[in-house]
Amino acid sequence: MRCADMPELLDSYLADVLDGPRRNAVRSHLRTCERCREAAIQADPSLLFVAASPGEPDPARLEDVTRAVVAQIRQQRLQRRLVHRQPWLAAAAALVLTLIAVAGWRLLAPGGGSEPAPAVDAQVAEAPSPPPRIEVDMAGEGVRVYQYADQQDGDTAVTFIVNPKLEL
Amino acid sequence: MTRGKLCVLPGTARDLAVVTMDDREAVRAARAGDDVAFAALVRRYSGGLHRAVARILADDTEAWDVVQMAFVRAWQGLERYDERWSFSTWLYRIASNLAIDLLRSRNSREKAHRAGAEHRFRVVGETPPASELADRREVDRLFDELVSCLTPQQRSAFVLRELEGWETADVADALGCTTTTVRNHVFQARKLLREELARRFPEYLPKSRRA
Repeated sequence: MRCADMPELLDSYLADVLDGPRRNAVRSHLRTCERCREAAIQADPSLLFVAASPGEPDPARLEDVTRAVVAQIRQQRLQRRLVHRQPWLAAAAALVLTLIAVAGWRLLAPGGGSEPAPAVDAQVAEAPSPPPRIEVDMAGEGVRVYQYADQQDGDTAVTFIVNPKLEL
Repeated sequence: MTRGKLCVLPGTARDLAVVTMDDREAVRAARAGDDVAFAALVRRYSGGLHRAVARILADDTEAWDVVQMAFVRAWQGLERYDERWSFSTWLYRIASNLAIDLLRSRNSREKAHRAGAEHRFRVVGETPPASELADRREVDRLFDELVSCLTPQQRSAFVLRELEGWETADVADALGCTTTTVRNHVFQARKLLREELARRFPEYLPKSRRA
């Protein structure tokens, strides 16, 4: 682009009648030619901002953003899948709790065991037993879900989701 | 999910292949759960997106937050993305809307911030002639000072059209308005910036334009 063409092109630029390539050519020229930049700013001071070269992004910052975005979408995907599979998890938890309760009742009920339990064992049985734990390996995900629930309080459970491969 | 997909940094042949994908291929792969493909889109557009959003918001740090949020929103809405449209336009539309919402929510806070920032800027700022304003950061700072006189829509239209060099039709798509509205926003933005520049920073104008 020749500097001599710039006055006419600038008028067209400001009137917004240039096509894309010529418009970009004007912008590029303003960023490299000091004389034309001065003339352009004189014609319209707002061109000061158009004539400034855009900065280059910091590659390290871009990588940080990429990692943060990917970590967020993985977390959200995992949450979606857990919500989707919640009924199944609840059913599995209920089944395991029922089996534990039945087994415990059979052991503790009078005559439930084949032999009388020693006194020490009886004391241990009367002490609060640790809450049941459920481990579910979600198929293909390498994700484990640990659910801790109190036998006395079937409505309350604490769930931990562990993905050993996830790099946050 | 395979272990390869858990790697964010490109390194394997598969990762490098993703880098060469065009936007539509990358979007299809991302829809199928390919995080590397989506990461490639993030790398491709986050720099330009940040530059535009930072100028709209006049805040570099908040702009990174908006960029991150825009990509997460885009991923959440991948199923709704219509491949007939440009992915970048769609992405910029999400980011512009987030930036405009943020601007609206911080109006009063921004006014207080601007008053202090203007004072600091004028005390430490040098006054080189306009032709020597090659320092991009100096111009960026000046723009950040003046952009508060524009409405969120005027800012967005001016940044995308004038600073990023987008076509008017693409700006209209990104902002969800007509091309006529975009032209009006740009026209008004230019006029207000001219006036604010002359009023607040006449030293940055060519001598013949100073009052």
